[in-house]
Amino acid sequence: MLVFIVRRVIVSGFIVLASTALMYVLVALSGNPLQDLLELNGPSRQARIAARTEALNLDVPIPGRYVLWLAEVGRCVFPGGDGCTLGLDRQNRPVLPQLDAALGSTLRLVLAATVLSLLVGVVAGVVSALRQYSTFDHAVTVVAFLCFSLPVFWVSTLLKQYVAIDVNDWLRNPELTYVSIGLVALGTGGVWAVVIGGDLRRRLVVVAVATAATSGTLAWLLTAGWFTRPSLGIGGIAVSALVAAFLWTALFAGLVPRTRSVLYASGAAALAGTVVAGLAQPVMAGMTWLTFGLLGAGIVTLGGVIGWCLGGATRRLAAQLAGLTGATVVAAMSIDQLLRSYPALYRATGGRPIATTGSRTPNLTGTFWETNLDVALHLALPTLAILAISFASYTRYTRASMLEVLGQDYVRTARAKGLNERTVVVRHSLRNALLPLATLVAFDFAGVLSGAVVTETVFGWNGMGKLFTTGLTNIDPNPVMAFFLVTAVATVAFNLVADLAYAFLDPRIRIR
Amino acid sequence: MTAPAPRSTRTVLRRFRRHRAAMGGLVVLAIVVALTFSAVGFGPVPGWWALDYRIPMPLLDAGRPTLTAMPPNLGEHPFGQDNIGRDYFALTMKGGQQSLIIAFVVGIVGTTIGTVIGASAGYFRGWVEAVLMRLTDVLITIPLIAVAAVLAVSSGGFGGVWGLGLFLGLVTWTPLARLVRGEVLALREREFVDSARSIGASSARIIARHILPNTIGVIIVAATLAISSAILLESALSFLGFGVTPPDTSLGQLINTYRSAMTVRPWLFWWPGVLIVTIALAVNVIGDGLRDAFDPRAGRTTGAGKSGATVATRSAAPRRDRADRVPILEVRGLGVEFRVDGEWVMASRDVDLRVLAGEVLAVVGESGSGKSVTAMAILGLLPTSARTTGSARLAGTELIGARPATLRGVRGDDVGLIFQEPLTALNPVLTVGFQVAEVLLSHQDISPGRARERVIELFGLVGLSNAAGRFDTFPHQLSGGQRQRVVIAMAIACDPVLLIADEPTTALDVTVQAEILDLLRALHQRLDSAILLITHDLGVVADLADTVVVMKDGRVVEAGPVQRVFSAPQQAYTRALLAAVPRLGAQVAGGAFAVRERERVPAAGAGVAAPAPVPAALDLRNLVVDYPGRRRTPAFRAVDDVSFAIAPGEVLALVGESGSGKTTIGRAVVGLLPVTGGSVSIGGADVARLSRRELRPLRRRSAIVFQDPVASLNPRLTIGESIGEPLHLHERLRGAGLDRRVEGLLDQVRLPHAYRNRYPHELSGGQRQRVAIARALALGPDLLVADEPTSALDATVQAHVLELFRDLQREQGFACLFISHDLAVVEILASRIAVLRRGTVVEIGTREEILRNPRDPYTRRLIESAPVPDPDEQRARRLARGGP
Repeated sequence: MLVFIVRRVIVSGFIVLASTALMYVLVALSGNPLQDLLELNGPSRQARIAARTEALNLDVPIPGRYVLWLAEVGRCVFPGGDGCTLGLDRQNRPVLPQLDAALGSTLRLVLAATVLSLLVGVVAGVVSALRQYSTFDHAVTVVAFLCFSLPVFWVSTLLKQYVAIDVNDWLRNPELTYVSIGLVALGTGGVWAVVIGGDLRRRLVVVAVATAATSGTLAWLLTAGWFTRPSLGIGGIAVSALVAAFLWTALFAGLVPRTRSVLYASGAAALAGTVVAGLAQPVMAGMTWLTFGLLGAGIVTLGGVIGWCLGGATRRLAAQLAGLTGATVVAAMSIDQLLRSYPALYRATGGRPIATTGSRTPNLTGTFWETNLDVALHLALPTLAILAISFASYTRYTRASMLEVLGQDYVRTARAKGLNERTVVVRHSLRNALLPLATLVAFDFAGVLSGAVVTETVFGWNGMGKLFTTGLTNIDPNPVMAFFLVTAVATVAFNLVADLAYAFLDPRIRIR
Repeated sequence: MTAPAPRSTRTVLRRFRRHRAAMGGLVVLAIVVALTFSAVGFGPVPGWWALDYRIPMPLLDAGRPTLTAMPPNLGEHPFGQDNIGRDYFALTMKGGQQSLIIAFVVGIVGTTIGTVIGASAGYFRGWVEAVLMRLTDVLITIPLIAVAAVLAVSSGGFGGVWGLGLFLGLVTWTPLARLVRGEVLALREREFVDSARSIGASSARIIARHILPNTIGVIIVAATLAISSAILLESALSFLGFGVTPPDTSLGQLINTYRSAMTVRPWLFWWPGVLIVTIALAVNVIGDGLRDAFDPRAGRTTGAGKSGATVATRSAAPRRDRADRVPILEVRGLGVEFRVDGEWVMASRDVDLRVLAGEVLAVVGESGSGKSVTAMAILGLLPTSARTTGSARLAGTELIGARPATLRGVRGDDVGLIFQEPLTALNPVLTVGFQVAEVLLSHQDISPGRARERVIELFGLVGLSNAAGRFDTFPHQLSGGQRQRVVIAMAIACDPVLLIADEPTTALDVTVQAEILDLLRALHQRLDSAILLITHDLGVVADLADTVVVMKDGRVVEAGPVQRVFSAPQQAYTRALLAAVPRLGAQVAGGAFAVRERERVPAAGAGVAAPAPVPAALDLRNLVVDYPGRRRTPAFRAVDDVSFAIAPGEVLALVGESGSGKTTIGRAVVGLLPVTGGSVSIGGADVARLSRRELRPLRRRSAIVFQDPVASLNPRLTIGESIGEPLHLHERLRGAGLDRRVEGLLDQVRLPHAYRNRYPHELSGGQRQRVAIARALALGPDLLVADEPTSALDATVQAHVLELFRDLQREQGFACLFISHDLAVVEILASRIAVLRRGTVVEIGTREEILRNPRDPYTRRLIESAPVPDPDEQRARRLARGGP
């Protein structure tokens, strides 16, 4: 195992070397950094040319320059070396601090978009495979094809222009006419009917129930002023935790007598987690990442322990699912806190909470939750744009992979054993179908970064995309190379993780 | 995994035309292309749209900003004007034209480079492949848009849109190269490629004629998708300011220019965006349609196997006969149909079966007789594209049309199922122990710990050694026989009243087959469960069954007790089937054939080839063949120090189980595998160390016929082209001369001349194998290597092909290395037999010596294990072997 990792890290090092060398040459050939100075007329011309030549080692031929750049990088890799700058830009400023700022916001965007698009893509893909040729399947296919064909910058601009402005306008004065409530609810009902499926009768029932529920909830939320002072409340946390406990059990353990203890354990974990979250309310205001991490880990562990104690013969599964329920409690609690900090953020942003430029509101001073809500609202639109693009390929891939697995002999064997449909799908098909996805995600990572570069430009983020595009436009090699260094390292790291995950999940692959 | 057979061009076109979305996409794309190119003109040709896209005109809206989605004044400018008054329709059309040009250039450049590099890497392996794979490793770490941007800046607007297209093509070919490489890797292992190589076709010819035509589907689909992604890539690049720059224009550049106008003239932003989406969507949909059209699996019945649609018909009042024994399973009037390309196709009809308690009922038939389908229909395990009619009652409970919960309760609990292919029947990522325990956990109220104990008990019962240690192993860690034991343990876990065994031993070697049959017999006696055995092998039937049902084309032909059906078959088909099955011992006992063979081949007497006046047709001396290891896996020695000789005109059979190295020897003889050590002499010339060029003239002395008639003919060549290829290569024949020779060869294998213009998929398996034989004999070889030529064929077809083969061998007198696992087939053809085990010859001698007095214990086991299609004799043989 260790040998495998070490070997892979070494190979990855060589890949990064080759990739950066290739790009270094291309970037060096893309223009002369002295161009603007050569066109200059003035007394300082020669001195400035000499200074920039000195700073960027322009007197050294390209291969030598690459080695010097590598040496700069080496200072950051090997401990003890100081003066880690990743080179200087045209203004003689070190690149590293600029990279630091850019990297944080870009990785946040890329990770959020990847995780979300994986979730949505896989769920939609699995469901459409299970209901091949149903209305849902066709709908997902059409949406996926449309998303495939959308230029990301165009979507981003549209989102920014229409969605952000309209939502912000609406949030200023959150009211809906009864007709709009009815239409929204009917639309939601229609979506549920397509998702749940079944014969005509069942669909009509679903539409009716979902429409009634949505319109009722919406009307109640509007009259209670929820959209100006939103929150879940401790009751909301408890209800969502219990629903989650039920869903996780139904999905991963099944609602059969044998696994009843799992259901009880998850339910207990949901309640206990809610109680802890309630008791922790006083510390919420002064929350930091450290206390949040401790609290979260505590609730998940509590769930796991409860599961282990109540699980009986199925204690491992019970502990896992109760822990998962605990994690759901943490998520619900965080959402509650984020929602509660909304009014403060609304005031701080001058009544335009859905941001369209930048990765955070400048000079915002607020609590842990307020700043995080701010970050989340800034992420919302760019994430949505990338999500629309990435989700399409994940859905199609998952669907195809799932259909193939469902046609395998061992799935027929599972049915021949008399296993119920849930077991056949979750235990025998899902894992095999999702295995290849690990490689695809890693492979696709550079592609998502591409999307991020464009999206950042549209939303005016000060991220990696900005670093790259301004660097390239101004013929400023070192920031551009910093971008390529980061993408190369991130991609090989992702691939390594994917390989490890694959080997861990697939017993046929032995790591040597 | 072998690549599935590609479809013919006509089928592809037909399927594509039926894909409504794709046809729609094609129409839309055609309209867009026609519009953009005709409106503003292309090159020197002027367009029909009068306004020039470069010239500002007076603003009709007087520069008044508006927020409407549509421009305020349609009339003269249907798409409005931009802020300096240029006609936006002309601009959009020009931009669209430029974007399309870039996309098509990228598509063509990228596809060409990708195809050439991918095909070379896949075919030649070696350094081309290493470089390609490393290059892809490197390129996936670089965001495409970034490298494209750097390249676009480096090229400095070189050559305008054409140049940009060229440069983008240079960076987008890697995915296609990988794809083509994968396809070629699969294709180069296909037997028709080996077949071309064995007749001495050059690499260029093999790539151009045999490999690339079969990857065309993949390439077309990938090229289509490359075009759509190029459209998006170009627009994103231009949007960032690195692609097309003014005064040139493209859709992305228009969006970039006018995105600041979003709040004053939104339509400036809308039109190019909508055009991009339209083009990309149309191309994507076309790509999807092409993919479906080229997909060889489409059109056949596939799908998730939930319970298929079932229509229950009430069975008539149950007749009571043979009332002394209760039927466990009573099937009446069962019919199954599949929906294929919109039509219902019958798979079985009016099937009646009665399985009595404790009885073994065998359903026997050739491929396509509907035997497996019937069994799966009983448990509702058919794909969703199937519909079932009739009735199947298990101990009184109707199963056809039963609720899913009822069926689930029956499956695995009352009825256990054993499948043909134990490797694919087990889930690769779960331990075998858990997969068996699962059955217990879902049908019985049992704790996981207790289930584990019971599974270990079951493993002991099915004869898995080290039962406790096997629980946590994965399927890939077990051998084929062990896996089948696990599947059997799974089937008997809940003490079912009925076991359905669907070809339970077909995928296994003959000695393992004997063990599994013994196990089934022992379990059957011990658990007293009835068995419904589905098989094509009459030997297996004779070994195990009490009652036989013979099926043909979906209908029951004959049914009765096994002794009666075997000794006095009443239907003509049953008689033909029984006559067609080669029977081990029939020839040797008869003796007549053997004597004739002696006369013809005087040299074939002793184990060591006597010095003959003419050089041996084939002389192997100390042959060693290694499969090279990869990285850390050591080289595998498939053939270890094998020596034997075949005299001219002699048939020597090479017999052994899977992994014994028999196929490896065959391939090494015809020069398809490199020889590690020793010598291979064909007609006195050592061919083992020759280069490709030196080997070429010698290729015509030997030829090979492969096992799988589907894989051994190039699906894109007609029968005539396939048969004529060796003649064309070696005798430079073409035109009428070639036709005459091909017709002569077709005569020899008793196929009509008209078949010359047909494609392999239009022929049946037996006919295809005749074609393969004709091709092999085209150059009149001295030595024919026949690698299991009939084992993929049904019994009656096999009988015909064997007869043809024997006649041809007698007429033409070629020597033959006949490779087979089936001793009964070998007995018909061979005068000498060599028994191979783990790469070494354990015994070699005349047919009589080997079959009558085998000296080696392994040979003895092989002979004893082969089931004989005669119930009485088989029982005697089993008892002699020490079986139950």
